[in-house]
Amino acid sequence: MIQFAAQYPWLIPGLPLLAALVIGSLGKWLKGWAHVPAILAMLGSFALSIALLIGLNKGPDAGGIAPIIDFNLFEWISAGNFHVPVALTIDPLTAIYLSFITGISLLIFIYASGYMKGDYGYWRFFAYLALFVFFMTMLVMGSNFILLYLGWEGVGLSSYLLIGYYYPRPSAVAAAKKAFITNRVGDFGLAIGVFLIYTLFGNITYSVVFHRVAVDHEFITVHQALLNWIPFCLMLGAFGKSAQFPLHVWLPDAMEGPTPVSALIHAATMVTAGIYLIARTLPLFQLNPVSLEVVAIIGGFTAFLAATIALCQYDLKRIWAYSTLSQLGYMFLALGVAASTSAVFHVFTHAFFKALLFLTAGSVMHAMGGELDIRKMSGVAKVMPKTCVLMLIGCLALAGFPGFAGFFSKDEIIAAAFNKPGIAGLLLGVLALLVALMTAYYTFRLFFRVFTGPLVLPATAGHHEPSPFALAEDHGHDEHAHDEHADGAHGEHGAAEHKNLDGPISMWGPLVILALGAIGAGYLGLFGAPEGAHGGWFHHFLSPVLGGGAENHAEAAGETAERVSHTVMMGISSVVALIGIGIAWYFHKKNRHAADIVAANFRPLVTFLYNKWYIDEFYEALFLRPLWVLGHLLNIIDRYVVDGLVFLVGFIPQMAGYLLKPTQRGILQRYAVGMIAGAAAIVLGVLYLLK
Amino acid sequence: MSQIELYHYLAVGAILFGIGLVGFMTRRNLIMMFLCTEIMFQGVALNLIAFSRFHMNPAGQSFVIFLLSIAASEAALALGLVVLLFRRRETLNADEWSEMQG
Repeated sequence: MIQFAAQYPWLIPGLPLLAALVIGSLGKWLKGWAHVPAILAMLGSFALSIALLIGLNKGPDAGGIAPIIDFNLFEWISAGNFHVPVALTIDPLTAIYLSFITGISLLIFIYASGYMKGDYGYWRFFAYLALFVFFMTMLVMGSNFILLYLGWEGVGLSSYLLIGYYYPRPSAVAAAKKAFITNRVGDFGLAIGVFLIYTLFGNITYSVVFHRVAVDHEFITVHQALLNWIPFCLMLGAFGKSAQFPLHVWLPDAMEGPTPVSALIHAATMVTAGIYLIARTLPLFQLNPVSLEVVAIIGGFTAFLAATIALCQYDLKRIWAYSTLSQLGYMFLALGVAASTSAVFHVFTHAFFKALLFLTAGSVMHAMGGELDIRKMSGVAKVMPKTCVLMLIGCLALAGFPGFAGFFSKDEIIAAAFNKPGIAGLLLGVLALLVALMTAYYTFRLFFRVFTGPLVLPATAGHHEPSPFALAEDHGHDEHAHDEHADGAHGEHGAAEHKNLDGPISMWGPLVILALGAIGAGYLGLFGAPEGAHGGWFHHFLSPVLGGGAENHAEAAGETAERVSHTVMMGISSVVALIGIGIAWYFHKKNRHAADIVAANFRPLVTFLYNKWYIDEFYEALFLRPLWVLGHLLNIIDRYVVDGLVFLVGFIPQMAGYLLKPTQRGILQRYAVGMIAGAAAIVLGVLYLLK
Repeated sequence: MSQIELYHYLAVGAILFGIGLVGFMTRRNLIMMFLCTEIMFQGVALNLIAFSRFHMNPAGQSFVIFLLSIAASEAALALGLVVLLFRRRETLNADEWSEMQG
């Protein structure tokens, strides 16, 4: 299996692509079976990814495989000196990414087959999902910047298609456009970065570029000025895709897509592409220490910003969306303080618990008939016991409760921030701790609000959410149906209380596996490393790729004594997490009235946070309004100036005809006069010329 | 003075043409207008004969024979059309037929 995977690594992106093509072309006939090819393809990809991971871990000496650099498939573009081969790289970083991309996708595909059942466009959904996995695996497997860019744009496209999946709903269309356009800003930076790399190095293959950076010191000094700019361009791309401030605005709106999409793309996998980009191009970032500091500061700030916003949101999915932003901020912070292994570790653990949280949120939403407002539900644990336990595990992992996955990875990042030399490290560390406190609070605020307390269900509970497609297809009928719906809900309210709303096994089964990951994934970073190595198996496994980061870490530790040791940090962050959970418990379980009083006392602050720091409004005033005005101005110019010229050209022949019209009166003698006058004129002319 | 020169033939031809032209433009009666065109025709035919004689080339005269026969058949056709028009409107006034205007 390992050798097979090493020989045919292209099957990992190939199978999802095949599935996407099959579902996309035969979907109308597959109908309710559309998930089968997708799930089979994912099973294959996942098995191959795990085989690669095991092979790489064993190493070539122990019957495994060595990292594959530039597994050349075919030449894609060849123009003069410019060659783009479709070549794959399999190294520990890629293998880690592949394992969780394919694994989480597989689970989410299974979940979606239950969640989306009976939806209009079921096959379209799976075709898009499979296409997404193809692009995402290409992104992490490509061995050059062009393939990275291909995957980058491809996941952007699939994300756009899936956010706008409910296209009859205007808000979904607006969110899809917002995501796509915001990402364009970031992609522009990435494109410029890739152009710069090609111009400077004359090559776009990772191994060649990084080798040159490592050995050719003269080259670096000569091109210092331009090399300093490359990380900033790449960073812009990473910030766009991973939704970091100031390009973070698209991610919360992306929750308009179906919940499995939010879980897969906008929480667990695609948004971590930015982390991958920076981790992969770390040698370029290390040339310019300022760029890493900027990454750390932006990451820290985004973590703080998103956490504060999450404190005051009421929409279930939006709270998780902001927490995703916040956790991504942590990852960038880790990259910026030269703890790239910790960043990837957090990506890995976060994938499990965030997918779990989103999918349990999806189950709640499914059971409540599309209702997401946490003020309208309470005590849901009574009707959804399984979901409650699963969500609790996810919440504990996100809050950094000791022993759960998020605890180990987050705590490493906080320790790394503190250990960064200088005052900046201290500030970032304190900021990270503060964010950890807020994270624990808002996570459990949601949990206590929704799952504990007296049982309150929205009127729509127990019913299927009316499909937006039904609205588009048959508007008149639907309104009538809606009335019946409401009546039915009132009548059945008593029955809904006793009904179990957990959903089919396809919906909670995968969640159990995710929950196991949310509990256990953290231990990979604690145990399993050879004697004397730093960290756990995870760190040891990644050290060949991200070794630079670890070395820097060790150097920094050698020069200035570590401010906080890892063990002490674990103690501090456990206390912080417990305090956060305690506050949430007091305000949202024991004494909900007290929460309202506190909120009333800080009304302006709450409003400010509820409105997301007014960043959307700010962008609207700064970019959208002027563009809108410009658009209308250009419309006027087009309508009156450009169109005016066109009409003028058309007007000339019309006018000429109008002027000549009186000569055609239909009177025979006038024609004769004209003819004779013409003949006379010709004769006179000829005579004059002959003279 | 006693000799009849080319000019005389040409003058008669021009006069015939002029009479026909003036008649065509002043008359409103379709048959009269048609007759005027015939007169113009004969003026031109006379020119051809005169030049043929002047150059001693019989081709011009044979040409006129053809011309006359064509004119005869054309006259039959044109008169037939005029009769048809008359049947439609009970008038021969050319101004009545002015629908074909821009």
